[in-house]
Amino acid sequence: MEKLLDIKNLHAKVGDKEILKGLNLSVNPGEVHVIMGPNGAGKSTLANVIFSHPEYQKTKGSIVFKGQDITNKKTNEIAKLGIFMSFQQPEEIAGISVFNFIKTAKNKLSGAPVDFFELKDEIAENMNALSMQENMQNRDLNVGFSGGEKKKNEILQMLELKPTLAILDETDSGLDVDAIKTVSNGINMFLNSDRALIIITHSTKILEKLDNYFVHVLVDGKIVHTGDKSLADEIDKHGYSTFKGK
Amino acid sequence: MAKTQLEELNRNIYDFKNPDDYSFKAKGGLSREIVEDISRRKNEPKWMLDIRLKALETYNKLSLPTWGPDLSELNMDEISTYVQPKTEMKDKWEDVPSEIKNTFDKLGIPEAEKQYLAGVGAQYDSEVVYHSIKADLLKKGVIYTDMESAVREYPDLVREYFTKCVPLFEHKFIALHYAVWSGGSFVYVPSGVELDQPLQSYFRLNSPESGQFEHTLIIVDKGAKLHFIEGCSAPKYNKVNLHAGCVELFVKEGAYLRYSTIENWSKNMLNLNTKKAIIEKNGKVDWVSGSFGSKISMLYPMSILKGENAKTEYTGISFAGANQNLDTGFKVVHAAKNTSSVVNSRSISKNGGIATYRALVKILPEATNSKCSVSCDGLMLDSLSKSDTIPVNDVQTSDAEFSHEAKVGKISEKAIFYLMSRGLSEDDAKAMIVRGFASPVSKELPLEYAVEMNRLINLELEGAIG
Amino acid sequence: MKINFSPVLTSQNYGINFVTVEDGTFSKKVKPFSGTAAFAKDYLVERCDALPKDPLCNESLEQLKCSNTALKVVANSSDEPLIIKSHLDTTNNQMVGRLELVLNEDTKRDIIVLFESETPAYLNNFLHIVCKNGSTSNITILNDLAGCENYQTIEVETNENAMCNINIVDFCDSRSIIKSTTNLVGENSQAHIKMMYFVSNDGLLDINLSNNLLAKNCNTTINAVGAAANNAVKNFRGTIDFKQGSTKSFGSENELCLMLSQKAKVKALPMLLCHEEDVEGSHSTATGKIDTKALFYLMSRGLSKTDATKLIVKAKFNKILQDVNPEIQNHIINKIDRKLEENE
Repeated sequence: MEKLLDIKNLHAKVGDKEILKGLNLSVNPGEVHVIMGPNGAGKSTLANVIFSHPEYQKTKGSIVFKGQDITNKKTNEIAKLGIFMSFQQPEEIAGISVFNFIKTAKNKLSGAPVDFFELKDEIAENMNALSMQENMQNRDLNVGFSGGEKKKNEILQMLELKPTLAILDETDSGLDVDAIKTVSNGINMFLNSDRALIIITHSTKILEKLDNYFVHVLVDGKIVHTGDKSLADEIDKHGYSTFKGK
Repeated sequence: MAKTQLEELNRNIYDFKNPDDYSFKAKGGLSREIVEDISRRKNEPKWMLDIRLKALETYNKLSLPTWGPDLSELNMDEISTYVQPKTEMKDKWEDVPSEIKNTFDKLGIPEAEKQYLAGVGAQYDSEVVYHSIKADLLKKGVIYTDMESAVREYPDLVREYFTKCVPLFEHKFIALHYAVWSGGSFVYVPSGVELDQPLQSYFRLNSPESGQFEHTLIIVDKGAKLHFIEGCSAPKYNKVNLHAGCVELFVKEGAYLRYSTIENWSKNMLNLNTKKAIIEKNGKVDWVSGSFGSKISMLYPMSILKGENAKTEYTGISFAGANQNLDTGFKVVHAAKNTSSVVNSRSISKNGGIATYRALVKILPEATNSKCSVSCDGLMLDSLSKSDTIPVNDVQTSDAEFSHEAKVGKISEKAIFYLMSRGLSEDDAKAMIVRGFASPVSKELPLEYAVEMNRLINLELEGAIG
Repeated sequence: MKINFSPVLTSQNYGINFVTVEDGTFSKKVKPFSGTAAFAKDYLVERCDALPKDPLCNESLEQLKCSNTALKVVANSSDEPLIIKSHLDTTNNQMVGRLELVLNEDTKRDIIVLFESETPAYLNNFLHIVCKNGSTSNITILNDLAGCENYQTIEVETNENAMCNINIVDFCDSRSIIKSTTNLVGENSQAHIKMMYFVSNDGLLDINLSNNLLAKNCNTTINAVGAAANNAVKNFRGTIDFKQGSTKSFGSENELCLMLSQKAKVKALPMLLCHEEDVEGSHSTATGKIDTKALFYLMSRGLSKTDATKLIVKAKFNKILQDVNPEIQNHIINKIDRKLEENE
């Protein structure tokens, strides 16, 4: 089975500072990989670097997705190949509604026109599953949204744009208990044997509904330890101190 | 040395506050004979000729403004050529610049309209559409006709209002305008009549000399409602490159007028338009304005809040591209109690374009309990361009609330990254953000204008025009 | 005679481009003056050669060439503020002065420049402030003048990594014309110009603050808060100019004027000029009177109307005053109190 995502020896810096110092990660279809680690370790950097964020530069290593080398590809080209990122701080874009934005994005990704009524029905269904208010689709993209609304909007986009690999960057931060449950639901709706998920998080609450997943500990720009569910529980209880020394 | 200061032209300069102290001399440009000729051709009553001649006298005495964009390319000695009737200028479709023709194609303008817009068609025959609207309006007592016909058919009504909103001596180009005005719309909406459909200046029958010195006079009587749309997104081309039009709006007690404009003059035009509204008690005027095109624009619509509780709102966007200097803004005078004004102005500059926002808010001592809020934002798409904000705030009573804020900057890189991560290319992402920036204006326009405006923005961004 | 022009003209009709003074205001016949003294240690004094590059007008420049006091003060680092006080009275009633303040590399100092007079006097001063690489300065300029005619030209230059706070405090009941030009020429430099004013009686206060961003990564702000009482006239011109080359710079401008009387006349022209794309600029101005709701709230807690007004006005002024050296803060606060009482 071909690996979905294969990252080898990835080094990346922002300005003069090196953040990723030889990171390795493989993800296969159907898998969920959780990335945990102390602040500043490079978790969000990893997500942004996979997506070729202009502020970060890759200095060594490679990223291969579905057999294609995407190390030097542009952000939108990577999106078109089937990767999605849920932002930690989604941008507010005035002047375009949530609905119209999703329609435009779907259009760009598939290259084909999107049926208005089909889309309306699909969005209504997904918004319902995510306990989102129906009128939110008419509001300007993320403008004036609360933290929770913004995160739910990201999950809505993920369900609509149907990527093969989704990266959730601290989607659970700032959410109340109910919202976390809703986001968990969204994640379960998304997962199937062809898709994969990378979840960057501090807390295990968002993982409660998941059965199997890999846990990687990212410290100082490298993955220093990999385990399964039980590792997450251990971190929950004891923190990262055991891993920092490595 | 101030950036946008015009050097005084080398000619006699008179203080416009004392027009009668000096006798006028005929200049090389505009002569009495030319003005009399214009009046004669239009079969005008004597009072209109008198106004034209007084305007000519004033024009010769006023000097060019010492502020604003450099107007030195305007050759005042050749003003007379600007006012010759079009029938004497044998324009041909072949002579229209190809970029204009290309834009027509890209904007999907039908063939017959192209010729009209390019100023080469003798008549754009919108006869059928126009007449059906006209019949409906007549039933309601609404007068909608071209300015020349109004002078002939409703002389008392016109005389009561003509020049009472924008006076002859306001500035040099208004004086010029009043001396040689030609074409334009006249609208009178009787008391209590509310028009659901907007009136569009586009639908008027084309008169041979329209375009440069149009005079629009609109009177909305007590309690009436009107939405008037002027201009269109297609570029208006004219060999002669000066546009010095004038719009006078009278909004009576309790009446409402929405005045929308999309201007897209061709890139050789000097657009010096003057628009003013006088608003009586409980009246309201909404201005919606999209300015694209023209080489130099000096455009400052103005609302005078004359009666108590009068209100005005301005929403505008201007897009300055290469070799363009768009100097726009808004002026409001609060002259009565409880008046309020809201200004939302945006500008985009690209490729060396200069976008300047100039404004005046004047709150007079009698305007107690007035409110005014102004917000203006400038978006710069590169470092060659300029975006200047020059607002003047003159508050003469302590009992007023006034606030003004402005921002300038570029498109956020984070926003571009976010949109690209959803599959949009960098250009598409920028276009989406710029359209979003312009959305307060497009939201206020009827759908087909909004669609046209968005298409225009896309074209501007691609650099496909000019 | 028209002086103190704004960097970009607006239409003449608005009467905000400049201010008009009598011909012959800047006479070249200058009497001797001996009212300036400096306090505190750690500074050097030399003769000053500086003249304004962008004066109020030519006549003002010519008069400054005949100055009756010209000092160049080089401040060294110290915790003690450097105080330069010029005192005018009935004998010493004409000051045409040039003062150059230099902060050498990496110097850190608070400086207070004080002009005070309780009797009518004439002042035409040029202050040249040079902040060299890495210096940090907090300079307060206090115009505590009654019945005076005050012309003040300030030019500030910040070099690489320098941080300069300028606090201009002006109590005007007669005439005060101030022009300040700040040039941020060094990368990563900061210049924050704060102004607090109280113009009363038949006073005319004409302010023209221009901050020019000329290098990368600079940060500049203009913050003006003031009150206009009685028949006062206030004109405020503020300009933030992002020149080409000022990439990644930030500029913001805020002006708030509290009108304490119906007859005061206030005008403002806050300009934001931008010739560079990758910058962030913003400005806001507001005019208003004392919020009646806030007044009522405070009075319902037992404060008299005067005390409540004082509190509200001082709260607004606080943002500006908090950076003024404590040495002089109390003096200013007391003066505000007295002015507010007089206004009642």
